[in-house]
Amino acid sequence: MFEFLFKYPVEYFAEGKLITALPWWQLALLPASLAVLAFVVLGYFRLQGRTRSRDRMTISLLRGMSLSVIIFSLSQPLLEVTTQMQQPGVVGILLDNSISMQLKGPDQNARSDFIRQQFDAESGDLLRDLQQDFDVRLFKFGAETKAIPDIAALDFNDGDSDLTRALDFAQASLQGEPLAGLVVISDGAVQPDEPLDASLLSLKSAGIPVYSIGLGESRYTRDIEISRVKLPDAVVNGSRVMADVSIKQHGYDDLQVELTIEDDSQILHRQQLRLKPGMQSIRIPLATEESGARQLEFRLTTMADEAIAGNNSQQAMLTVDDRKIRILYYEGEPRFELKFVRRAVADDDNLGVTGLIRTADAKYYRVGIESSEELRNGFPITRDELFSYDAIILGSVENSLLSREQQDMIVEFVSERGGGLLMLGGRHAFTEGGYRDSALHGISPVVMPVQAEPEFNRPIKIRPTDAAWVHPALMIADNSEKSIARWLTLPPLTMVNPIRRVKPGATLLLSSPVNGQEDPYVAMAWHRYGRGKVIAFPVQNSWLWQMHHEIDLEDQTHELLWRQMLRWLAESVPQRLSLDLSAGKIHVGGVIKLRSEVLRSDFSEQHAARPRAVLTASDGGEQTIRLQPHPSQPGAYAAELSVDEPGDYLVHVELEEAGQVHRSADTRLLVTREGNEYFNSEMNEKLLRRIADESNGSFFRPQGMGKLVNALDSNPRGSRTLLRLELWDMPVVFLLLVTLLGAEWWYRRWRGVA
Amino acid sequence: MNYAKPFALLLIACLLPALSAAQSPRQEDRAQPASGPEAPPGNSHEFYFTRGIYSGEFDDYDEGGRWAIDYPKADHQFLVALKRLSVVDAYGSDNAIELTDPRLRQFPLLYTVEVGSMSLTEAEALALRNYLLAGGLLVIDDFWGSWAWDQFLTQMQLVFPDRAIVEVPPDHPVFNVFYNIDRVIQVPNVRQGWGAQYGGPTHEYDGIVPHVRGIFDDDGRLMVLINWNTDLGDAWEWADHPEYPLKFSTYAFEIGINFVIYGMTH
Repeated sequence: MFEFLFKYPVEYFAEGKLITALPWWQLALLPASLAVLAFVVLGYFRLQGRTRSRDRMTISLLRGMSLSVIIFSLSQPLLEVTTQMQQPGVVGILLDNSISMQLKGPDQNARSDFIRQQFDAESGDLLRDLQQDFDVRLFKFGAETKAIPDIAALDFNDGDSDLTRALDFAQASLQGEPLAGLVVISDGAVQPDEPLDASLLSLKSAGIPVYSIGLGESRYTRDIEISRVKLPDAVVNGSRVMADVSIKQHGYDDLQVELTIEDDSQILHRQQLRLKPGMQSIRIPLATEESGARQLEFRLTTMADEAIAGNNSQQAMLTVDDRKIRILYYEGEPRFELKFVRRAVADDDNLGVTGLIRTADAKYYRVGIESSEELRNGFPITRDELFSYDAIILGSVENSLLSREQQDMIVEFVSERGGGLLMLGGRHAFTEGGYRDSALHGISPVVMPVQAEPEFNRPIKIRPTDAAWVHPALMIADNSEKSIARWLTLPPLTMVNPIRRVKPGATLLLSSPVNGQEDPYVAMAWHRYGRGKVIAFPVQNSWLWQMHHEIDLEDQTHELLWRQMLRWLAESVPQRLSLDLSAGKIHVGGVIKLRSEVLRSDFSEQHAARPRAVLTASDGGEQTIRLQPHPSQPGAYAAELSVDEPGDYLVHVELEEAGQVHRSADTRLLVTREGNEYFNSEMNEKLLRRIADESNGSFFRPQGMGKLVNALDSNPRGSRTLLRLELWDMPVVFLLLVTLLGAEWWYRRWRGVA
Repeated sequence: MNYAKPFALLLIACLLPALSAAQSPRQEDRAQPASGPEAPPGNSHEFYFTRGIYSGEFDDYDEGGRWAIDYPKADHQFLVALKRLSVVDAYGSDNAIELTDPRLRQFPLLYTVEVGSMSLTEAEALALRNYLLAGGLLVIDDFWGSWAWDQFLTQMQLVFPDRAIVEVPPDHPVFNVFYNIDRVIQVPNVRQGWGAQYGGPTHEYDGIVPHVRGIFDDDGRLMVLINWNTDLGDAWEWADHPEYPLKFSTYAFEIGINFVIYGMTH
């Protein structure tokens, strides 16, 4: 009966809330309506005539009540009520199945214990609570993401856990379902391979909140970790390599530990270091002496009481190429600089400097050529010839000795070919050589003065800037401290090109103070231009660092500086066939992305190539995969590769061209069961919170998980829904209105009132 | 009977004292060694024609040493030719320097003459050794015959006790770096050069065959260029003399410029 009259069950009225659908400005009319009503009733009540006051009062009351019912209906009353849905919402639970979940906390409980306890099909409290209101779907993520019937499918033994893929997979799997939300239960310890942004945006736009439960300690009490090792992908044999090592520790402040670096069990470097609180980074110069794909192991002392011993060593891959770097040194006049540069690199089998020297007007001398045809017509006039070099040294060559086309070609050599350019000082260099308004000024890292100063000639004492401390080209001793000390004792050189400004984005490496107040002279600066590097070294006689009487005969500073500078300038120059791996170490079943670049002989992009990657296991077994043209990078080819067996692999790219097979240098790939799970394994609350916050979900710790069900329930697409029920058309309203109007009519008839 | 040859020889004999005095370092020619450019040397020009001052036997009638034979006129005239014929940024005047001067290494090409009279001190031998090993090139000129060679050999053994002196092969870059020198010819001093026009000999003492020999470092780079039984310096000095044969001065300038360009590029 109640439901017949009031349209809805009585519970709705007991739990619900009465609201109105009227906008605020219409609500403002309500007091006015009541005032009008009061005015009407009062006017009627005051009418003088045959009617008695009791009649007027009764009729006024009945009319007022009728109008009240009408106003109530016009105010669009709603009943707001939360109610259980007939079809329960779906909740996707993503369970981290990676090895790091086996890590134990101070209470000796593993992170995985939480999952075992809370999601056990028989006794799991959280699972039971969720299942009361939701259709719960379980997923595991680690090496792969897949739906699982129960947690018996978890072994917590997967390698890297990729949250991005896991979220994408779950969303795709549950598309079309009334998804109340996703719940990620993880330590968040491994950063995803792919940026999360796109996944989170997709979840947010679909209205799917992600709730995260963070497991494990967010900071270990006692642990030492090599959290990151960064090496260049490839170097030329004999180069000095700068290894950037990041060390993180808690609980061992000021402890002295030993860092050892091994190359296939041969110790390359060993040093003592004192641990600083939190994170510290060190840069270590390493010498490469063996070519091939190297695996360097960085190892720190392991303490007996630290949380994880497995993160005290890191492997890093390095390809040491044995190719010869070809450098063209162009001089507009005979200068001793060329003689001593060639002498400095003479013993370096991986560096070849070809000199082109103007000895008289229209007369050139070539030195260090590989064939009689090389540079036969002077400075190259074709891309093929110029681009066959890895770097160019431009000495004292006046602007007029290079045509506009040749200068444009040098610009392309740097920006497109990725070659290196070293601009030396001299009486015909920079502004003094007429380059202020040339194309080469555009790619120079320094701002050439407007006015030449032909009479300028000054001895300069060179000082390294902070950036030079750890620069691989300028490390002229075994370590930074010794290197800086050596720089400060080098004899002065002379400068004829007074330059004081570097361009925005350029790095000043060497300078020479002027009176202690004015801007120093630029002695060396560099910047990246396009794909290549440009160094300005506006001094004219670095050979004095070889020939000055203060320089000991055995001193190798000059040789070392030039070898390192030329190698650094040119060793990253793209080769015709190159290969990049997205990582040097992955877990079993993990996906590695391969990217290869294929260039023609003039180093332009080759679009219709068919390169293939070859993965070679240590037992000689090979796996070949065809690379496909990259969708957005012309000349680049890409593929993804998954490796199912742990081991040490070599990867290279091959290209068949005119009956010949070209191949890239080998790159090493390490595949392990644990991947990088022991690194950065503290609970990554920042990442888990970010996932929750950006998808309108919430982050919980295990002790706060009780709020999870309520949070899910509050989702409109969850087990309960928020209803807003219209009340204006309830039968009781109609009946009340009819009754009041009928009563007034009857009363009037009975009392004989008009 | 042909009287021409005896007449020419008689004429040479008559003029000998005058020519002899001319080719010997006269007091007015024997200017004190230039102090060299301001420190650090080499900052004004790329190349300084540097003459090495060494300890040695002295002429009994002269205050200077044998190092200064043809100095400074030969140096000046060679520099005129070098600047005219090439784009080398050369300092236009002489630059003589003692072997023990600490600035020596800042001039990577050193010219020395009359090394048969050389008598190096221990310090000079060490300085010269360091200079050459650091990257300097020593060009030796104007010493004749086996006696001078033996004397020079003794001195070089003080510098490099165990380095061989070998003939520079004709295809070596030093012979074609700027001019193509097909064959090493004997450049006579001014006296014999004048006489050579009339069939007189070009050699001195028993130095009949001219040689360009060298001492190489471990990497095969020339450290010492030895012009034996020839006198490039006299040809430079007397190149402006109408009686000095053009073919000798031309050759002397050509090979001298080759030495400089080679020294700046190798």
